Amino acid sequence: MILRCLNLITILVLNIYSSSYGCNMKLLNLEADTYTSRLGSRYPILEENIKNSLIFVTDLNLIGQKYFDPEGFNNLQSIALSKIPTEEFQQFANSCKKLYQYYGQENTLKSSSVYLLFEKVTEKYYKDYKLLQKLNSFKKRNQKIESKIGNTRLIDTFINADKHINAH
Amino acid sequence: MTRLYKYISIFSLLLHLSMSCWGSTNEEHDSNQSPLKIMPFKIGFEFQESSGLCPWAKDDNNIQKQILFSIKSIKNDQKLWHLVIDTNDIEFVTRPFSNDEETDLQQCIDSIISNFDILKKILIEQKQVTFDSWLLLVEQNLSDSNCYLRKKDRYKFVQDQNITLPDNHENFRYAPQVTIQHPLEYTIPLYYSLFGFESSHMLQFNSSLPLKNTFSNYINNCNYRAIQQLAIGYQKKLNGLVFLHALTLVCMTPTDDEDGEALQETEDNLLNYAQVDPKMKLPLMSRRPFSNMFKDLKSDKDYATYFQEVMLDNDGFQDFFEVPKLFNKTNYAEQFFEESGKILDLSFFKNFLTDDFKALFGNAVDRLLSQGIISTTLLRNVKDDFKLNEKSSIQNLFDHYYQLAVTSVASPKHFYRININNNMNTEDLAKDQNQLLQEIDSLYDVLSPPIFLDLKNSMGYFKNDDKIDKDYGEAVIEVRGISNVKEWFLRKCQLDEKLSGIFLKDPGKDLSNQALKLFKFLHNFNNKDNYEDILFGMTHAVKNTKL
Repeated sequence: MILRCLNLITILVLNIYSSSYGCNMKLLNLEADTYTSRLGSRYPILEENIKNSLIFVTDLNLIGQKYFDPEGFNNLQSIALSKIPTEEFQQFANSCKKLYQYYGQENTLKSSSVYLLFEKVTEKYYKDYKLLQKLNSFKKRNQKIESKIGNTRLIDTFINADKHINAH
Repeated sequence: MTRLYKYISIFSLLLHLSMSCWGSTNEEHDSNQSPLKIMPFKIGFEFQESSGLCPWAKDDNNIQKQILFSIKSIKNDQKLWHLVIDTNDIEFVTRPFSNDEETDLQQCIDSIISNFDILKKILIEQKQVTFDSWLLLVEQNLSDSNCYLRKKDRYKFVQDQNITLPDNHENFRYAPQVTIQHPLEYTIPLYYSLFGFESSHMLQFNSSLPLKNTFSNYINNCNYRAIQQLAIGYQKKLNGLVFLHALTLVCMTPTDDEDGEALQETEDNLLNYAQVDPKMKLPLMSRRPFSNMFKDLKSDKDYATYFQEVMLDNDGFQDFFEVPKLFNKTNYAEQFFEESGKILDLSFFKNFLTDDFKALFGNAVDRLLSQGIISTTLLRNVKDDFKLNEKSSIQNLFDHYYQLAVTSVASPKHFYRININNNMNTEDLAKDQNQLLQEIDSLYDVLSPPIFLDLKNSMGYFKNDDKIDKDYGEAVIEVRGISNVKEWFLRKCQLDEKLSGIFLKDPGKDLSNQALKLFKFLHNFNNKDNYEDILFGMTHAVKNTKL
């Protein structure tokens, strides 16, 4: 119950499911998937990569006001880092923060795009991260399972699974 | 000391595996004496340009996924590619190219690049262009490249429509997919090689690997001989089918069984991807029914018993994802449209839901139904008097969904559909709930497509065996996460490792190089060096699965 409440609070605080008009969501998701995948395999993400991904905001007037608020970005980043304390995510968050500050109020199209991208990657990677946490505690609980070996008959059947197959 | 022992063990394992017989498992074949045969295959590409260049098309179901025009080669009069509209995007779809058609594939991809270049150039200069004006330039371009253009009937619906560059747009991006036809025995090594061996996919892959616990135990004990034996098993057709089937079940099983989360997921998918069906959860999606593939094998095995036995030996499948227990809560949906192509308002369906469910999730339910969406989560929460047929309830069907998914591969019986089509009157539907769901006889397993989805859904779509050239294998797999190919594959293809995550996404000149490298990788897949690497990679993935 406590865990469920915590999850709910996290979702509410991160405002993860906020929809955003003025933004091509399909494109945003496509770009976010790139970074979620790279974080998952610990592949380095360069600031240059992130810059090239800021292509999804179509109308600045339609996206939410929160994406222009530096304080909001900082809050999101602090919460995200406390929930996902991995080194690779921290590096990604730092790169996003640098770019958000670099574009700042002079180029709000780009700074709000950084905000949107960081929010979307956080949402996606947090799901993966929760699964990782679940896996780690599962592994601790179930170490003994791996010591079992399938019975000899089954292994023999498995190795000869195609023995009576007549396909080409 | 423990760590040193671990490294010595792994090194020793590598040494032994490098002398292994993995890859030479055709019983009649001795890999030391002669080269392995080429893996027969076909490969097709889809490049969906994701900028939303056709915003007017989004809610018009009549032109969705319809071929508008195709480009053919003058040399052999064969189609190279065609163009469709998917939601509000244009999408280039190639025909499948077999393992001896590398030159034709090159011509095809080059043609896509040059004709999209023409479009990009006009859009950057003029912001928008009609289909007719673009095609005039395409036809001029084709005259130099031994190709010609054929417009289809549906083209007339779009000929005067504008293709428009959205504001603030600088770069174009493809959402790519490839579909590979190949013999089932290559399934496990092939997909581990594309996505292995440290990616987030490994958790799902390992949890779908038959006899994974035993494999893991052999690795822990450095039992080389036994590992090699299991590696032989991983190159069997039946085990390739089990892996694909198990992977589909794993990916469709929710990690959270809360109804509220499931409704939210459907809403998010609609907002983010304009899709609500289960295929977006699948890194690999079979386009042939599992039941048809099993039939092809003419195996004397009891599939359901065999599947359950070899998957019982996988703690990821049984205890982590808890597939047998949680698959029944799988969440996916269908969206319905009027004859005019507009979304059908299904708000009447709310009357069939239990009061408790409506009290908890009424707002989300309203939003989904008004968007013409019925999901499995809604169906699982209908009132008790809403029967599937005289004998059984919908809840009862969902309670047995996992068992049906396993048993229907060898013994297909029924399919269940939502009886709504685009010329129905919703007032009549609202009056007669008993007509809304139908049980029909089926020749296919209940995941091809998953029950309650439209029979034309792309999961298990290729049912007509006459149209499948079995010389290229039993499996036809849509590789939905192809952009996320990993470092081993990229290194093997002599491609930059930085392409991981963006493979085939950039519509620029390198697209042709990347597509052809994938083709060549498949062409040269069946060689001993590859298999030794892949087996070692699999042992690493099973031993060290992390996200």
